[in-house]
Amino acid sequence: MDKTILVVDDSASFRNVVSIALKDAGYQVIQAGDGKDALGKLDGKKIHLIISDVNMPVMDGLSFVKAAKQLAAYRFTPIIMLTTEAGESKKAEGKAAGVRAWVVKPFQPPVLLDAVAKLVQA
Amino acid sequence: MFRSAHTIKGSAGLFALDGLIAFTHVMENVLDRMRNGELAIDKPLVALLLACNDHLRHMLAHYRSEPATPFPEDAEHRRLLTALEAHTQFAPTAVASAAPCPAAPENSESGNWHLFLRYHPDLFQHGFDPASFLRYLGKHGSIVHIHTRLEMPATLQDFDPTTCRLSNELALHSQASAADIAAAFEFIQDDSEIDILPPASDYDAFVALAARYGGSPETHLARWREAGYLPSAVSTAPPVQAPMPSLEAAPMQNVPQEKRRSVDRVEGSRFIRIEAAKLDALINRVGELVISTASSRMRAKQTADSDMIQAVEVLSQLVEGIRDDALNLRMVPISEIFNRFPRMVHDVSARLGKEIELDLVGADTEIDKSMIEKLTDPLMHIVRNAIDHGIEDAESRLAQGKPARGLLRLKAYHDTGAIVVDISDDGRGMNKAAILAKAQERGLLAEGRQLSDPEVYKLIFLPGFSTAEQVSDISGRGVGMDVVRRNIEALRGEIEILSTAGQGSTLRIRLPLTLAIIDGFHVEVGGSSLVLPLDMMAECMDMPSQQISRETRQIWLRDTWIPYISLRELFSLPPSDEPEYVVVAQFGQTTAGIIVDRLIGDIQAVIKPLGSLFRSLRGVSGSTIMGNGRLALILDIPQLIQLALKREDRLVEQRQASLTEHSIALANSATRPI
Amino acid sequence: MLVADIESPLHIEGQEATLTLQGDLTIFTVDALKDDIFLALNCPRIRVSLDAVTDIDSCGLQLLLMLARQAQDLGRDFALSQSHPEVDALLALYGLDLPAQAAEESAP
Repeated sequence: MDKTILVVDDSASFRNVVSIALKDAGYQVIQAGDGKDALGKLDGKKIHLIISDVNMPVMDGLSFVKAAKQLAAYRFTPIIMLTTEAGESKKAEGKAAGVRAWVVKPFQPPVLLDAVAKLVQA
Repeated sequence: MFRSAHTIKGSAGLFALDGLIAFTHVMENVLDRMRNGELAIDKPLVALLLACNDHLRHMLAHYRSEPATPFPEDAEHRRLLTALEAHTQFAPTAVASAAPCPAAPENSESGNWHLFLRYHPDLFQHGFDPASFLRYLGKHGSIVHIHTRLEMPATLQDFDPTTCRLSNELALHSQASAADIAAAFEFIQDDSEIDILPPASDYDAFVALAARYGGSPETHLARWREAGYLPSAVSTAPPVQAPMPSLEAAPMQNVPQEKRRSVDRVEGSRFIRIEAAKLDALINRVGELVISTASSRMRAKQTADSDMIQAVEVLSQLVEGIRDDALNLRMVPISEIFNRFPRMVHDVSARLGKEIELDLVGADTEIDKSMIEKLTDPLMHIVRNAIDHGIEDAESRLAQGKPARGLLRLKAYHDTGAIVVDISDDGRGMNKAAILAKAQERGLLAEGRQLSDPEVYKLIFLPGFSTAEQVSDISGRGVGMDVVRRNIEALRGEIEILSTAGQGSTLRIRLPLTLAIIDGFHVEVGGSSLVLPLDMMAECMDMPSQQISRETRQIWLRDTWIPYISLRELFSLPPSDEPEYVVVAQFGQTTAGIIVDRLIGDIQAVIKPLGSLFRSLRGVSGSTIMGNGRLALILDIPQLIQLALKREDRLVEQRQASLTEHSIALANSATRPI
Repeated sequence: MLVADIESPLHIEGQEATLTLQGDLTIFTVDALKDDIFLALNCPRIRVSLDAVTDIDSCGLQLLLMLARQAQDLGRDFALSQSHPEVDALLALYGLDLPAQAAEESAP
């Protein structure tokens, strides 16, 4: 079965770059432009991995993750958070919300693909 | 090379250079098979790869100058693709092909990396799957051996199935660097224990790891030896070649900072790990030392040499100190058990929709390590019962004027030579009527028998009391309270129940401080030596000639009648014609007299288990070797007290019955018409 | 499908318990499945069919392994009546094996 990844970022060009890389690696990709948009995509369909930016308008990444963890169908879904700054306090907050995987952004696409491959194989 | 091809492919994917992707994908597959040893490297293959390399260069040059137009797939392109594809039958499309082959002879023990992965219990809940990491490892090489361990939960009733109970040990054949291999676990290395030993690690590295592993290091080493992880004796690196402790020198050098910290944490702490067997050997040896000191003491007394007596006295005090220290080594805080409860109480109460506050008191109270494992299950069961049956739901609590949140308290403390664990709740208390009714229904109760409250509560410990639950007993659920009692008694302990209707109940478990050595009191019966545990003795006295009721086996002690048991009777010896003595023994709230021939004095007894021949002997819990080399039986006071109480009840009843009969007879004769 | 069928996967007939696992056997479903799964241990013979499993993860596999281990400890006759390629692949990855039902048994 194809593995589905939800990519949440407010930059459309970034989402496209990532989506192309992921699709090429054999994953299905769903995109969302902010946390609220992303929550709307969590409608019961199976999602094997969530990749989310931290800083986004409307609803930021951590609020989204915390909300997602409340949903029975997604509370154990693996999450990769993308960080721009070292932001230790954000990391601590993320850790409390159940996030363990962080990838620093900007990154080389292979770095993200490599991180994804550690959690979900296409 | 594989990596380069892979990176080109990944980058090409990013820019949607389809021609390049398709080509490098096939190339990557061939390289992957070569790397995994599935494909022999021969001249034609090398030539092909070189040609591919040139072709790739052409393609890249093309895209650099004309990124928008696809690469024209010329004859050379098709030739190379066909040639490559010929080498990719069964091409691994995913790394899932990293399935282990049981033996890979060419990868002898020294050529492999060894990974020891002890996953954090919350691993699954954090969204991780060990299988993903294992598959990912397939990118770096092949797993030539893997061993998966599953730690079973204490019971299959109240456990969280989303807790990760797996751990892995594996041998990986790989050319990758330590950093690359460690990076597979970058997301879990903070929480989980990831240990990586590089190829050719020496024996000491495994020993050091085994020591950090918990449990018996020998077991781990034996397992690793069997799996072929350990270097053979010959290849054990001579110290000259590995002057540094290999654990620090080799495997850790490329491992990220966090990992190093966790190693330091273990090594820098104030604890050292000792194999349990070594500790047991020490305690056994100390036990023998105690015995022979006692013997020296006796001899010294016989010499009447005061200097000698003085010296031996000092010696035996020191030996006593060593004994205490040695026994202390086995003591661990009861928090080892208590710590499991917050989660369990939370889970169980959440499932039952009850709100419960857990109060842990005296978690640093120390308890013999060997008791920890055996105490966990009964405690879990009692706590579960308290949550399930003891504490009411919020509504009925509020209706009774209690706070909505129920209170559950686990309290451990020392009390006169015993460790006591109280499990208290502020729930509805034991339902006496219901217990009596159930006991009667099950035929566990003689009709018309009057029982005190504690006696009623004790009925729940009878086997068969909870027959309704036996169906699921097998699956580890609903183990009846009789099993709890058996477990506690196996530890030479006792359970009492205190309960007030509407206000809650307390189960009180009393356990001996240690299972190995006791302070005893030496007595004789019929020429045989017997030892009573001193901590259960209240006093000794001459057998009273008055103040005794031989029919009901009772003695008047100060202001009350207590039952007594004669050891001569118990061991079927003829009655003594000499004056006897009474040892007043106490266990928990109960007291009884034990009649013996002679009182000898204090003694330290190293408990040796009884052979199977004597295991069914009533009133005896073990044996010990005396200072004079003779064997003495250790009396099981709780059992003797119970026996005395039972006999007293029966005899008192009989006597009352005969008295009543007698008076009825008298009455009858009085009313008989003349 | 993320939620297990409401219908119990357990079917007991005489001495034999048959577990027909359907849908996902993953961290999202283990909690709902575990009680039914362990009830099977009451029977001397336990057969597990994985034919209709749609997805399995290590957490789901762990539950299956617990059942197998407990069955072994209790001396039950435990075997897979219907295997599943995905489960087999996962077992192989972990270097594990579960007893399969003997061929002559599967004949009706």
